[in-house]
Amino acid sequence: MTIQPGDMLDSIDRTVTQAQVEAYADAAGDHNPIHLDAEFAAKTPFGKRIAHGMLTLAMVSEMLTTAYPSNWASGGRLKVRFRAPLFPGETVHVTGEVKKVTQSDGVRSAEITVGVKKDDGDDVITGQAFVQLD
Amino acid sequence: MAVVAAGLSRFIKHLDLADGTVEVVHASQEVSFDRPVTPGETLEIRATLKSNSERRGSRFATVEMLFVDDSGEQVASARSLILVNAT
Repeated sequence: MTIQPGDMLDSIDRTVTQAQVEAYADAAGDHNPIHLDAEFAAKTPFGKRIAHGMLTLAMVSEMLTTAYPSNWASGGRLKVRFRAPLFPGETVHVTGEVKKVTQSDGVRSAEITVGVKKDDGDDVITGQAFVQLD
Repeated sequence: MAVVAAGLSRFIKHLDLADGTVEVVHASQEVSFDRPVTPGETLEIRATLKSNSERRGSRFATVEMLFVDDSGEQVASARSLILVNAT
């Protein structure tokens, strides 16, 4: 299959729940109260509990693993910024668009613009991923 | 991705930033995967605090991590920028 700029990866729509945040805290060993303690979170500038950035970023990696089952885990790279907090109960749309395809020493690679957006269009994560195609 | 999250949370604990007395926010993340990690593998995480500066009342820290297998081969690397605010 030819991969070219403008191609879209299969997107993911997901609603993150507080139960998922709690399970993720145990899995990652990250029990920062900003994710778990409603009273603590109320005193922060966010005003309520937020999902772990890495939980949200894992959805980007899931999309890339589906699109590139072997090459994402072997040689894949990404560079992202966390733009806004994601609150449990909110739904996000995870997307990837091929920005350019390059060739070096006979190996083709793709640069993919990745993003996680809320229903209202606010960016949660923006960035780029790089993956070999051959 | 899970090993990166686990490594970062352990390093934040190691820096005594996980006790709820400060607010830690993840600002940016870079990750490179060299090869897949299989269940049952033991990895060593080498974390380095690369920068630690204060800007406009917030502390910014850059953490670099290398994930290495039993044979000393690197399986992944990561660079995180975290923001630390007093609560």
